[in-house]
Amino acid sequence: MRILIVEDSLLTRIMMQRSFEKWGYEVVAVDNINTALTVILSEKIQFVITDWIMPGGSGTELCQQVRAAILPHYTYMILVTALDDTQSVVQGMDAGADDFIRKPIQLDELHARIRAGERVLELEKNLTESNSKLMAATEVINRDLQMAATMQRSLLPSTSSNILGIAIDWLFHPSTQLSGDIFNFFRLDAQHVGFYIVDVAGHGIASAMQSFTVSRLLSPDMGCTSHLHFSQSDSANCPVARSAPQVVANLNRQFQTDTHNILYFTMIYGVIDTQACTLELCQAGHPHPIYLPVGQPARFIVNGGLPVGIIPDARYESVQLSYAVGDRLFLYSDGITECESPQGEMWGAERLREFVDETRQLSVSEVIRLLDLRIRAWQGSDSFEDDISMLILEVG
Amino acid sequence: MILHEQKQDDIDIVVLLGRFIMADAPEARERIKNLIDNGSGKLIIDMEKVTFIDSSACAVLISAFKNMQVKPGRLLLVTSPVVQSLIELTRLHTIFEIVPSLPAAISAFAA
Repeated sequence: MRILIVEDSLLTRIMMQRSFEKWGYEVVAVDNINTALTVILSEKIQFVITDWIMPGGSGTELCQQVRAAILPHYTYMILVTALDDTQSVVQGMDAGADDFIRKPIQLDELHARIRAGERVLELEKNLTESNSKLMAATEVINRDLQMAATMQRSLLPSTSSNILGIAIDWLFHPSTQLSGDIFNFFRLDAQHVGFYIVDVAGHGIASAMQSFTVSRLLSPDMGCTSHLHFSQSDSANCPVARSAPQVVANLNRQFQTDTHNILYFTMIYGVIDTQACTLELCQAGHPHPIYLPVGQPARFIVNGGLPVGIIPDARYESVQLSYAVGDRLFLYSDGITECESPQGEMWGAERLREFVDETRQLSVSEVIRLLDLRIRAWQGSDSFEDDISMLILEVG
Repeated sequence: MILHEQKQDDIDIVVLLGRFIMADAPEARERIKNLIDNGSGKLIIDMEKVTFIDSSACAVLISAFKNMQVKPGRLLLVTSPVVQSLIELTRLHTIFEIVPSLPAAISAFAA
């Protein structure tokens, strides 16, 4: 280790230098604080023993200057003083000294204090090393998460999509980079449009992995026989859309929770028949969707079975309704209704229903923009505790 | 969240207090699972003083429910209004056995 001695007395300087070299340290010795500061900054010396009173500036001033400089490492400083009152010691430590030793210097004591300082520097070095390893690891994880988040967003439908006359817009805020919420909206065949919203219990990586899987299974491009379609024996080339409860019941059989995977999910799956102008939807433990018919008050569609994954033979039913041009359907995750104000009050389903009613004259994209502002204002911050999603379908 | 374990005769009682959320879920799940594995098949989870519950915490209750089915045994829940409302929203009240209070749960086992 290298030690910088700052001492105006030639005799003391030489005495200290010889001892330090005998103890195995490399020594740089200067006689004033200005040269000392230059050496500390340029030579990256981490251990300084400085006299208190010297012409051109005191040891306490040197301590202050070193502490004010932004250095990539810690500099351990010992003040040497002839002053014998406690107040001076306090003043020296406050200026940034780590330790002090009184004149006349007892070499054994000084050596012990240097060793104590070395231990501090060793700890600091280990801490810095662990810290930089940790930061490198965090960066790798964050890059990974960022890539996964981009993939997740790419699974969402385009906000401007319009399929067979049904338009869509949505809001999606993961509470961390990744979300346990996922939704989509797609054409099933020439006449049917399918849509779903899924909220996997919890949030973060495990929930997101589950939501990715479900999203892939609920993709309409997976061939003739899938979760969404089945082939009839007499018309193998013309798959038929499965009913909503069938789709949910199949997922429920496939995604049973067990000791290693306790992440159930809530969901809504719906099928719109654009020729019959009917909508069928099946709810599995999910917050009740809000239906806004033209000219009538917004209302909840209350129905449904257990979340997916709880019991294998759970029964699922559907609700069917006829729609008219201009009607809107709102699907959302509980992150919206359970969003808490700073006082701990939840935003709640009823406030959401009123909001839907009040904003009926606005365009769907304007409703989404306002909702985003409204819930941020309610909770008084921009970071969400749970994943947030809202999906609005509008009959064009 | 605070979790207390008590025992009355051969009935295990888990009392939960405060906010029961994702951060508490792994520990709560492990402790409840141990109680079920080593217990007599009688468990009460008392959430009368739970002020907030999220879906991860709900997953712990479902996990307890499933473990108890395998044992086999009986799981009784005591809920606060907040817990009850989440359980009803997710339709889980159709599978959980919910009783109004801890004494009611204890006498349900005695009956």
